[in-house]
Amino acid sequence: MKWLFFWLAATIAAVSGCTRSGDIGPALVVLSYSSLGATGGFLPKVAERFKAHSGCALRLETTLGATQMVALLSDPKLRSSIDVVMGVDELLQERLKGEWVTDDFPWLKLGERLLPMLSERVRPGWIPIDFGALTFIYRKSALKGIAPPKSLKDLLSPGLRKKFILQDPRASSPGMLFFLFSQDFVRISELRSAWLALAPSWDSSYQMFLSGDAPMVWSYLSSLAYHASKGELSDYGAVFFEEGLPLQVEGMGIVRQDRDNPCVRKWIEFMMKPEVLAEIAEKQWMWPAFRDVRLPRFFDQVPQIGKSARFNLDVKSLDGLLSRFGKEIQGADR
Amino acid sequence: MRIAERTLLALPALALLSYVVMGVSSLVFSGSFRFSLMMEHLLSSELRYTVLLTLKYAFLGLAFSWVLAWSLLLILRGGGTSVFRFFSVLPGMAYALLVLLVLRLLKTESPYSMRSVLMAWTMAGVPFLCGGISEGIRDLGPKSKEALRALGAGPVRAFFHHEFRGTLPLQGALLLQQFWFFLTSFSLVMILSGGPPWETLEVAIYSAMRLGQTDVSKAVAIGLVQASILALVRMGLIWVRSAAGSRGISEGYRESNDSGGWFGILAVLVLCLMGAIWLAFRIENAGDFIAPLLLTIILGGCVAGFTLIFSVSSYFSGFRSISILGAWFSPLLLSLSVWSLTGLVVSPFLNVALIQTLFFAPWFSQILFPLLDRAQRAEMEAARVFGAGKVRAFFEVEWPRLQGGVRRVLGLVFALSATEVSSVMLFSRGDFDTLASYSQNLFARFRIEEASFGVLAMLLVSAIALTIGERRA
Repeated sequence: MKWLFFWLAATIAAVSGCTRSGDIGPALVVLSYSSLGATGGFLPKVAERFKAHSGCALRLETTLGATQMVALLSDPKLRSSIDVVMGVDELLQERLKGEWVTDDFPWLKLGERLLPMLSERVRPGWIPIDFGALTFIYRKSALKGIAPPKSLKDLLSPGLRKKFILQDPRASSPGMLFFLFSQDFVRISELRSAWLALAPSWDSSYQMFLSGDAPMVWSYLSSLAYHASKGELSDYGAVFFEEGLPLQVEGMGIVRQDRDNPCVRKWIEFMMKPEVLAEIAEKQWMWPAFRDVRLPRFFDQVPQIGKSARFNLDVKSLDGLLSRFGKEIQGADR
Repeated sequence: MRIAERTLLALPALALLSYVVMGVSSLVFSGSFRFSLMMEHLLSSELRYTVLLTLKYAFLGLAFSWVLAWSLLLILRGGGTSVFRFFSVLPGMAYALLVLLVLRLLKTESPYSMRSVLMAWTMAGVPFLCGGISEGIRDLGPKSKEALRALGAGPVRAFFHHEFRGTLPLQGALLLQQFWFFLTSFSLVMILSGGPPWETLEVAIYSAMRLGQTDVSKAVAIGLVQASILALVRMGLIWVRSAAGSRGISEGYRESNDSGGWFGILAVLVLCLMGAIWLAFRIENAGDFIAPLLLTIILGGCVAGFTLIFSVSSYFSGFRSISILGAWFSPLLLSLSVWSLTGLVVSPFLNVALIQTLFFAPWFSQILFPLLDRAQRAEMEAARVFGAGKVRAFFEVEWPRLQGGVRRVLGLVFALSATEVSSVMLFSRGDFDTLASYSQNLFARFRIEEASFGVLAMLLVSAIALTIGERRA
């Protein structure tokens, strides 16, 4: 009998105690996707230093894939609890551009520091941080004599069937870029039986690749720097498509700027420090978007990007792709 | 019973019912839902593909599980009931992990496909069917078989007429329950399918709500199709049970059992495995599991408590059918119907607790209601004549008879809550994680060692809850 009353009392106490932590809220809430903000990523690594340096409390929120950040921000209640969004690439920035606090950040002197090749890509309210060229990374020993692809059409060759992992374009930014880039050359319906898995995020796809599930994965050219740091570069290579390689620029945006909250500006300033940006390069294995950042030595062993691919990076193209995606892999257009 | 008294008793049941009604109304009348779009999705070739894919593999899963279950039963000759029971409580995630391990050992080239899902479904289906059928055979008793043999039937014929035909209604019910499990299987498919085009109905609902931009109309369309199939399964189950008539079908509860010890052994085994994984893979972030662990325990406690209140309320107020509401829908469709209430009216945590209450109340009431039906009314009346109040009479006369069954089923609800993942994934939005959602996220990021550690921690919580429930029962 006693246990029953105890149980009911504990239940009521627990329910009344389980209110949303976001309602109380720390001074700064930063939203990002899993490989950037979850355990083992770059943000948790620098979070403590930021807190000690700025005196601000910080909460990191993460979604599994980058596009899920858009879904999360579409909820007004949740959106109001987020201050800064990190890891927003140009495609997502197109979706979110209405959300940004459009300050031109003159205090950051972006124009002076940004790499010239990225200067055309800056948009109001969005601060570029890093960039990468997307391509397939392969393990030579696992390809077992099969030639890596030279063009996108080669992905359909029988030798490469079930040999590569992509990311789900509905959930992941690199996945979206792959399908936008490839749609003029190969149909999704042709590819559907060629990929081994369509992972929900880049993070999971690369873990699958590292576990030996497939010899090729859609990733970043700079992933080779990671393998160089492990002393295993000789077994890894990158594909250079004759169609070029798509570039992805990632940045951050402010979705809420409370005048009484100095932590947002402190965070932006902290993130723009050359030594912090150098850590992004080392932890996320992406090239920093600024000239004054000293790169880890392993980046010297990464080949030059060469030809970059050009295609439409706008919401219309993206919506067209996403509405076609389901039909082509599951529907009548197969 | 007076009207005022009955209304008071009905309050918790009516509150939960209005929560669902409020959720459905809020979803339908919200700007994010459009009827025309839903109809478009309902008639789309995408949905047809998903339905056919789900049904094809679910039927294949049933066929393989059924054949393998009978083969195993024939080999074991009725033994191993406790072992089957022990395996049938493992969550889908544990089976996904087992399949991954097996495929890794076999060095399979493509571990991610519907074939892997089929393998995991079969692995999950076999112990469930074996456990149920062997209990059914035990219920038949040896007499009719002895009579058949005495009349000259050979062993094969005797087996066919006694064990096989004798348990046919039970087999039908078990297969339908297993079919239900396949149709609502979530984490297992998420882990093993390798993503599109391999999406079952349950996963497609989640994808529509949680990947990229939220598409409520699409999710509702998929949910309605899934609910229609599940309603047919449910009707089939009712028909099979009524057709079985006096022969009856086990409701899954027996007054005496020997599973407590097995669950205790499972707990010890899981603890050893967790230690081994921790040492072998140097799980550095083991501390990160503490918050999800505590939340799993709190959630399990809440859900068990709510289920008890809800079931008792619906029984005594005469609204029995409310308590089995959750049995007519899929977990994700129920979650979806109240999804729009999250953060606006009800906190995400409370939403998860209420939704899980709806999921598990049918299990609870299936066991509790027959016990309450057998109430010793004469003794209760006698106690009241001798001056005991209604409540005191109940606790003095009825409670000692009921408490074993109630504790056991509370342990079961606690264990089910600890392993339920889809509602937490849909509602948590980064606010909180239980062990199940935390492990699922680790799986999604393909951090298998840590995910295995999480699954084992989840199993440990379930095994302890079941051990306590069984022992006290």
